[in-house]
Amino acid sequence: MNSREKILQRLRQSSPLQNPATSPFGNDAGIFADYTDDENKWLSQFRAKFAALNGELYEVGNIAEAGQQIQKLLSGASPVLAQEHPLIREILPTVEPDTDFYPGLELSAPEFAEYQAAISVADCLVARTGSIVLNSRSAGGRRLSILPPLHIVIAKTNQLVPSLSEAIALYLKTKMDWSYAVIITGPSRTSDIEKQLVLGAHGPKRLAIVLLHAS
Amino acid sequence: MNTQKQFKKQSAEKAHDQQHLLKIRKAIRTYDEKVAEMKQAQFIDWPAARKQAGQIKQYVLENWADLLEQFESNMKENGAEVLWAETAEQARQIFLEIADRHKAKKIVKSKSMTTEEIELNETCEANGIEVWESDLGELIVQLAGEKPYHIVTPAMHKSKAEISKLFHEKLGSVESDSAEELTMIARAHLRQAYVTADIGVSGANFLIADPGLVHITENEGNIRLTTACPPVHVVIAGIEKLLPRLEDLALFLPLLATSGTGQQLTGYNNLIRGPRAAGEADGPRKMYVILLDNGRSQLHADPKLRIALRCIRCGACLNACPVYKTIGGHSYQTTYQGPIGAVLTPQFRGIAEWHHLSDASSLCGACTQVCPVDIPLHELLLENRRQSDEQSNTSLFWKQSLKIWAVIMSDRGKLNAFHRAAANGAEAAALLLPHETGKRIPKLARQTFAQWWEENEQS
Ligand code: SF4
Repeated sequence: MNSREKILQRLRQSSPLQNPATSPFGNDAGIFADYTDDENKWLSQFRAKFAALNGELYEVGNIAEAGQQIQKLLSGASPVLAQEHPLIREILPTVEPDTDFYPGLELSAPEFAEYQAAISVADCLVARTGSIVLNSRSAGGRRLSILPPLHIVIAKTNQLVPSLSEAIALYLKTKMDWSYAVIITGPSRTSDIEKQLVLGAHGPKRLAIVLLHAS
Repeated sequence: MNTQKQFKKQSAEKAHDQQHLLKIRKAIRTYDEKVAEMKQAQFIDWPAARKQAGQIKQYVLENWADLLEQFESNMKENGAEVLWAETAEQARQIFLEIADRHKAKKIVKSKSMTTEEIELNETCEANGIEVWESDLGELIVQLAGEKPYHIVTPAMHKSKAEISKLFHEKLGSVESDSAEELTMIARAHLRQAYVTADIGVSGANFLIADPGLVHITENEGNIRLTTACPPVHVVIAGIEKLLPRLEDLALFLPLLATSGTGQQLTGYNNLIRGPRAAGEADGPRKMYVILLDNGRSQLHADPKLRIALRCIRCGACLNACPVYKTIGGHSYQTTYQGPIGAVLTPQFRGIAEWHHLSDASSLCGACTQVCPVDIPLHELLLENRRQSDEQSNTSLFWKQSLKIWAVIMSDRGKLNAFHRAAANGAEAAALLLPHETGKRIPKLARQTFAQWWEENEQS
């Protein structure tokens, strides 16, 4: 018998006969005090939560405004790496000339580390926790959103969901053919030294969202 | 020196070290305030939430084998290799084989208590593989040549000045009294590691059976870099890390963050399904998951102690424990410290040698009160004591005497009737009790309070 079989056999021997069933957790409304199912409150809740996490939120009405806002955010940050994505292509021609698109070019790890800002889209925004959810297939791989010191996310107000259960349910409805996803809640941080908060421990020091109001 | 003597000596030293006490109290006070605030702000009913979490974990324990197989087959489908280790030694061998296959000279590692458990760093170094710890707290204790002080905040016991000196000596940086500057020194130092390492090694917080997925939580981003940049990713996880479904994370992520650090959610919750999928831009080409048993399945056979396997390693019971706060994390000399360490270590490493950890408790129950998965820790400490007593070779005479003593002491009427005899008995017992046991019998007053009252009431 190999290790696998030995371990499984021991667990089976000691498991009691009854099989207490639990239904999947999905009761955010019944557990979390800050849960709201009122769609009109999601944006204001997200604003407050994201600000408390030291995130920067910029709300814009159209593509042109989004371009201007990104230009402002990028001032001084160069070179820039943007995700190859129709929405970002639509916004970017008007701004920053020194931008590479990824994927589409081969980048070694050291080359990747040269970029000063990254731009990507996201899958959804979580109102209750101020989080951004994205994955390796929808947001340009694993490294884009973690290596550069500034990460700019382009999102739309209709991507807001009330809580984590809804964000997870969105994924479960898809094929989930990505190898990696992440729930991002604020910029990279640490409190390992005397419990003092420091931003930009290993990942982005600044996390910004350019939020397009869906009309 | 045996483990028990060493424990006593170290605890006595630490308990009288004022500097140490001040640092720990300060860190834990900050933690306590944040946790209380977050529980209030986030949960309608914290006890109900932890009860629900406890039940989900209990479900795992009672369907464990099936869920493990489900996890394994789903991960395989995504292209990851799943390997099983019965013991720490097997896990080390499996890891070394992987390292050999990929000709690894250098690994970058994120914080993982399971790798501490199998002493991966020592194994790698003995085999000529360089290890870079990437979590800031872990890097600090690694540079200092120490073991983690705490399962969540490994460098809790180090002051800014000590860290500055350490970085100056080991990394050649300029001394600084700013936490920010010190963090940036570590950041710059570790960037090198991510881009040159042959293997990234991580632990796991949760293994999701359906759909197969490894969840790892963090604030710094070092886990993201460790699992994104190197060409190979190895996960080393205890088999008890399972959760049945992805939906369960909606409860467990806020629960773990609140109990662990007083946050609503930690900065990055990573969900890893496998190596780079077809058509993806980057990510490791190979992913291995090593499932470690190392005593867990044996513990599962004990119907009373099995519940300890619910633990999600949040560290809350350490921070709540008056013993931990006094003697500090290093005195335990174990991978897992505090109440959960005092429950698990005697079971994993042998009651005879480690029962002193279960003895060193005031049984105040503070640990039980804070545990987010509803583990009755203080009752398990008592169970360890019972097992230790059962196995010990204390003479029958002592066992019998103590039984009689217990009968008398727990009944007012009997105590009154036998008071004089009991007081004499206690004194005699105190003299007779073999000195090496280190046990003390409480001294009984010559007179009961009722007798004293009768005599003194009038005057
Ligand atoms: S026993 Fe409970 S409180 Fe202690 S670390 Fe485990 S989950 Fe947290």
